[in-house]
Amino acid sequence: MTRALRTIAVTLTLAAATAAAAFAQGVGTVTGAVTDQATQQPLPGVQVGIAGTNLSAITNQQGSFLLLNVPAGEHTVRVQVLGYAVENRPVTVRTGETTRVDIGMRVAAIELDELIVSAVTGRAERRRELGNVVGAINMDRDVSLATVQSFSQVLQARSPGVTVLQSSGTVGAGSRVRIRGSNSVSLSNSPLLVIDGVRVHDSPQSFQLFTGGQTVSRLDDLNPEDIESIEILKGPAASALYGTAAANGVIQVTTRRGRPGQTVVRAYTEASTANLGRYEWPLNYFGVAPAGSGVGALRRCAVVDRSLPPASTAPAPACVAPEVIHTGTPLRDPVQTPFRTGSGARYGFSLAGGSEAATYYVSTDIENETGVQVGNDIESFTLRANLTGRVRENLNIGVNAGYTNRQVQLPQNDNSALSPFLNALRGNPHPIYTDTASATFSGGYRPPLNRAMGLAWEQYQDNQRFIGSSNATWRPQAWLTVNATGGLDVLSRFDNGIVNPGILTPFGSPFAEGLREQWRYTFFNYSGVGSATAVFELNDDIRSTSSAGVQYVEERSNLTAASGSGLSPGSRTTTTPRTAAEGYAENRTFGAFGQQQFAWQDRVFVTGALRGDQNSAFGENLAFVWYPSLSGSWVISEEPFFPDLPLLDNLRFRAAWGRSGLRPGLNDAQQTFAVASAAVRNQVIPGFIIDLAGNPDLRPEIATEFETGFDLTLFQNRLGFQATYYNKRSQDALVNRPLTPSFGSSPSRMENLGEVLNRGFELLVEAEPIRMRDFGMNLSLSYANTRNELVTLGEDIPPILLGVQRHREGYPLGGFWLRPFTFNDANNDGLISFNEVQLGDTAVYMGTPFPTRELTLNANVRVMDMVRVSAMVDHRGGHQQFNWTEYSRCVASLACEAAVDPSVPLERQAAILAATAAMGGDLGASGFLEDATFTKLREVAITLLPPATLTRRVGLAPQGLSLTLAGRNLATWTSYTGFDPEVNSTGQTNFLTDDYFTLPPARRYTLRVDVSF
Amino acid sequence: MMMRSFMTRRGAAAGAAAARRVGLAGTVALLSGGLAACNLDSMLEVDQPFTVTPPVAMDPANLPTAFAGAVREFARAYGGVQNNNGGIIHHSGLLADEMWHSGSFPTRREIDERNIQETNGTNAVDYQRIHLARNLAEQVAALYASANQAQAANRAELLNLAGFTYIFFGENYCGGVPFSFLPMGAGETVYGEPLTTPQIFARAGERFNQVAGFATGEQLNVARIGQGRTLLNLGQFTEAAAAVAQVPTSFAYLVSYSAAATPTHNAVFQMTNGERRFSVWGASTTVGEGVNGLPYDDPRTPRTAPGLPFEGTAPHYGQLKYPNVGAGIPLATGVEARLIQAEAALQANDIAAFVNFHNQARAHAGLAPFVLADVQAMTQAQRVDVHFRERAYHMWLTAHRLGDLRRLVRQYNRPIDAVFPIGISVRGEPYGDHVTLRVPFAERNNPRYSPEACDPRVP
Repeated sequence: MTRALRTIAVTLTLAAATAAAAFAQGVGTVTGAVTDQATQQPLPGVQVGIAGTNLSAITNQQGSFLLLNVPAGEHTVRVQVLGYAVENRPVTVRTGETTRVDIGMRVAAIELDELIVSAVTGRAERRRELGNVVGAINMDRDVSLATVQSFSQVLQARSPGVTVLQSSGTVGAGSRVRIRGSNSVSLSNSPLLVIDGVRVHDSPQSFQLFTGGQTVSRLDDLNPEDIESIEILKGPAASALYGTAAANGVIQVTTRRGRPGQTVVRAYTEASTANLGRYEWPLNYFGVAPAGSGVGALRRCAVVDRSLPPASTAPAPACVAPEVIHTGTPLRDPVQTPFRTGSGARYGFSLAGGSEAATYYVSTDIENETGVQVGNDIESFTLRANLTGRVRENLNIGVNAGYTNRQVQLPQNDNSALSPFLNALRGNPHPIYTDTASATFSGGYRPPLNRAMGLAWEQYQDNQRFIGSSNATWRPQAWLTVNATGGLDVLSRFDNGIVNPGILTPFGSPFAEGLREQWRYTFFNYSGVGSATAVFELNDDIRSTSSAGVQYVEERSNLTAASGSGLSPGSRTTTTPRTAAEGYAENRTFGAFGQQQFAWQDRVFVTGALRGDQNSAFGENLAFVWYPSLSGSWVISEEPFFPDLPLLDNLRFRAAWGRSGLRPGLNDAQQTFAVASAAVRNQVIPGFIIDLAGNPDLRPEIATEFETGFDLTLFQNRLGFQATYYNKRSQDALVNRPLTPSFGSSPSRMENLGEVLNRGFELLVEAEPIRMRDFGMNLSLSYANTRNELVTLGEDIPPILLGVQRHREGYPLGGFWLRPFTFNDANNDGLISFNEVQLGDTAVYMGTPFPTRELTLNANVRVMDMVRVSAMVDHRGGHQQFNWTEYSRCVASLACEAAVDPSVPLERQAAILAATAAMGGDLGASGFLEDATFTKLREVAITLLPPATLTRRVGLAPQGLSLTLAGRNLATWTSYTGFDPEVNSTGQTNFLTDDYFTLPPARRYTLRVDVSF
Repeated sequence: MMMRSFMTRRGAAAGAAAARRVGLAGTVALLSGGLAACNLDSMLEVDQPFTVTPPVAMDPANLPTAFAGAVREFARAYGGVQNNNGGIIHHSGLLADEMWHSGSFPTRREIDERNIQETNGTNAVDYQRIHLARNLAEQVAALYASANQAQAANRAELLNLAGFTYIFFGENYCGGVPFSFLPMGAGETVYGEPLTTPQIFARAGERFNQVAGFATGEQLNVARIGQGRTLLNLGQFTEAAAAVAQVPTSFAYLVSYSAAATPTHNAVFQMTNGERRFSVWGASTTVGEGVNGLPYDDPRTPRTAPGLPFEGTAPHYGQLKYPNVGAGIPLATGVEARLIQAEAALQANDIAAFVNFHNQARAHAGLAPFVLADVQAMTQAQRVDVHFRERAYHMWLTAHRLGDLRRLVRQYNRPIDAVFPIGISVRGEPYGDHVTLRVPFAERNNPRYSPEACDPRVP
């Protein structure tokens, strides 16, 4: 450790000494304006810099820029902005004089000089310098805000290799995010989230109370309205410098900034409506056994013979031919249904502007949304203030502050016994429960539950969150930049639930008398990073860029929880305290890093980096963990020997190799005990119980990735290809190894045992088939495939079983393993019985729950700057979904059509019998596993813009008024027989995947008005 | 204008450039030096106010807290965990004829229907929890001994509880259960070898003998009953009767539960009456579960009126033996002592003594006595039936019944199909052929364990 610190110290000292040796020279000024060459519109927010130096500026609202203190001499002005081809203009700067350069920008399909800012080194690197691919989302260019309600939806289907699966149609529930597959058997597979250079709390499952499955993801605390751009580092090859947290990739978010120029006021309002009208709810069936069969009239009767060979000694079940079949479902009853038409409203405005010396961006946003299920709502309020200032000629500072107040109410759903959706789909249509005059009336729900009971348990989460960061960039010399960023993320999370009294009486105490519980968490994330970057022109051809720095991250959480029962109606005051608990957790990371890049003629780049980390969660026997990386990039099309191909604009080859890690759980390395309540001689006192078995040799998981590919642009940058192959191997994968249960200790402990491999290919095609002044079209097609394999679990470790899923060597993580079956109606009676089903002896691999191929088409059309149309078609395939909903309805409840109606296809009868015969954990039968391939029309937006002449007349900016009509989840094409193949009843869990009475996504329409002046 | 201003200042400051450059170098050097000097270990030291480390847990001053933890784990292994999991009472009751599964877990249905997969998660949790209770009780008992408190009543209680965990394994699990050791704090890990059912009972007997060597009062009586139960399982009827002879009929040692804190709830109440995921038998007042089961229509087996189950269509019955989540559950009683003596008398063909011991137990339950002449008129097989029915009713929902069914096969030569539930279950599935819970799949992590050692079809 000490050696590492000394290395850093020496590096920084050398950099400082070199700075002292620099000499002053004469300077001048460069100014000008940047416009879109096609539309002649000014381009604000464009980065203009002097090549080979750290001097740069951002254009204001009028597209103007000003570069001060440019050393006298011959220079190249480089202009770059996302979506346009970089422009390089030679300029001669004379001491004390101002030189003007006006530049028109051309749209580019794939831009090699787009800037990517590292949150670790603080350095803005051009894409051409990077050996790895970086996904980029520009909110103004790539996202119609009317189509998205959450940050997860912003990420969805916008970058190849980034898989976002919406867990349900519950508003406020999260989505499962994976980048280039699943790395870890036991740790989170969610990417690291960095906002304005600060690591933030990014738990994908952040809700303590029981809802049956859906939880809140902290990703969705971000307000999409405040985001300017998102960069996605897809794996260790790109994220090695981020160290022990970045093996799953990094999502870097930059919030909006003001730009020099007059204040721009932007306001918007939107109204939305959502419904489940696209789904046809299935009927519940109730077969009544024939009179005299010995089966009571109120017992369900199935058409299939459910007796297994060999013949038992008891009388055969008589319930094989229902005499009467009752059908119905409360979901089709407008009085009984728990569903409604959802609605939403959003309002917000922002002020942005400033001068060359300081800029500001201030915004606020209010959102209210009611879900399509009663008991599901969101209310949120956000504030943001981002300030930048040039406090000295060579010192820029920025302060970013965002506040979010968000309340989410989640309903009981999925695997909750109280879920109204579950109890409706497993309901009982017998008249004794559907006749309103009946004493046992339950409205067709599964008795004794009814609609009121399904809504009696209300679960809320109330968040107050502040994310603040400050950044200083000091350029003491043209070749030296020192960056420092510090920030904090404070989240006050209040999960609270209430069971209203007198409703859940069948559940007994404490539900009957009412229950109140609350969990109050406070999370603190502190992070700071400091670095210095020195740029030297070693000779006319070679440029050296050296960076070194240190980073510190501290995460803390506090918990206080309590519950009580005995509520009086209309009150939240409990009369009987039940539980109380508190907790605290803390983790600290210290990292030191260095990076060296050599550039040859600005077309060949070789970069090497090394980061060392120590973390408080590592085992006591472990010292620093090192993460090296190496990358190369070659813009071959700029080589003199490269043939002059008229259609080809750019061709670049790239390759990168790198490592990063994932730390183990906070206390996984330690043997620990916990304190728990114990009843001893009728007194409740504290007792020590065994908690964690501990592992002093515990290390982080190390993911090593190699990626290579090329970028190609053709036809004057109107067609671009970006192709990447990657191979990512996680070694020392942490496996929650089951301990011999006869130890009588904790059931398992973390050990570094496994190895996971992800391989894949990604292709991004950007095209601008039509580029005219009054009409334009952009298309973006992305494709990705992923192959995931658990190479090894470790010696003598048996497969890890997750119900009908397994982690088994040689197969994808979390694959489905079920027993296959065949059937044959041997007696030709049109019914399948047990002895006509042949069930396989062992479970075999049946597929993976994660898509192995993704194909997305985004299209944008512009007509005369008056109409814009965008659409997204998203395809996911190669994966499976377990339809537990139908399994449960057919096998457990005998409520589905196939269980009762003899006219259903024989294969459905056989599936029920096979599943019945194979009951139990990992040995389920395959009849309810289905192909989950789908294609969705996720988004469509049509925006109307009045002519600029009209908007100017009323004092608005050009294109300062727009009206957008947008739709989301508009259509799904799939062979899946459940409601939606994308959902997951276990929320954002690592691997468990199934559809168990999970609310499918609603179709949503939004009308939005944007005004700016 | 601003630009000119900056330029002017820069020009004016040219003379100070060297000083500033030195300042820059000095600043960075100071920062670097400070960084190198800082202590990284202390920087990464974190607070863990709610984490108990082995030295704290093993501190003699904290023995009462360690004792409470061990008692808690036993209570959970026995009576289940609040509203989440059943305990050995639930699952041995399911496999026997006391309860049927009225919930949705297929793993519980496997137990109920006598067809338990090695990978059955419910069975695995139950097994783990009993081992946890055993391990903690034994290790905390050892802490008492090492703290010069070998004669402490708490140590006696811990050893008794450990003894009963061996009984749970012996009565309810297949032969082949291993007992491994992972020390609190530093020490050597020991993987256990599979033990046969008699070897498991012998371990239980060792614990009760240890207690009998120093305990008095309540814990001595608990040890006597534990020893008697152990010997009964081993077929040593006379010795069993002798072991329990001095226990008064009114004696009862109850495992404590409390309504005051959810983790200490009586989950027999919660899972049957609260959650309705388990139902006691009550489908008929004349026929028991699976043809052979007892009807449980006795004042000692009180149940609720029929209601709706958590899942399924058959009527659900809650139990009324434990009236709330704070009700204690008997572990060792004087009634059991009398029943042990009665069985020894039955084995000795001393019908008068047999009736006398039963009548002492029945009197304690407020029931009319058996008439000696009526019992004398019975065949021996009928007396065995009466005896085991009395045991089933007296010790209903205390994890005795499965052991008794196995003893009926093992010691009284009853065919399995004449003792265990057979035919079609109340959920409409056929019963399998298992007569014991089994060692779970995870035990294969024990290199000394072989799955062949456990055959759940062997009584």
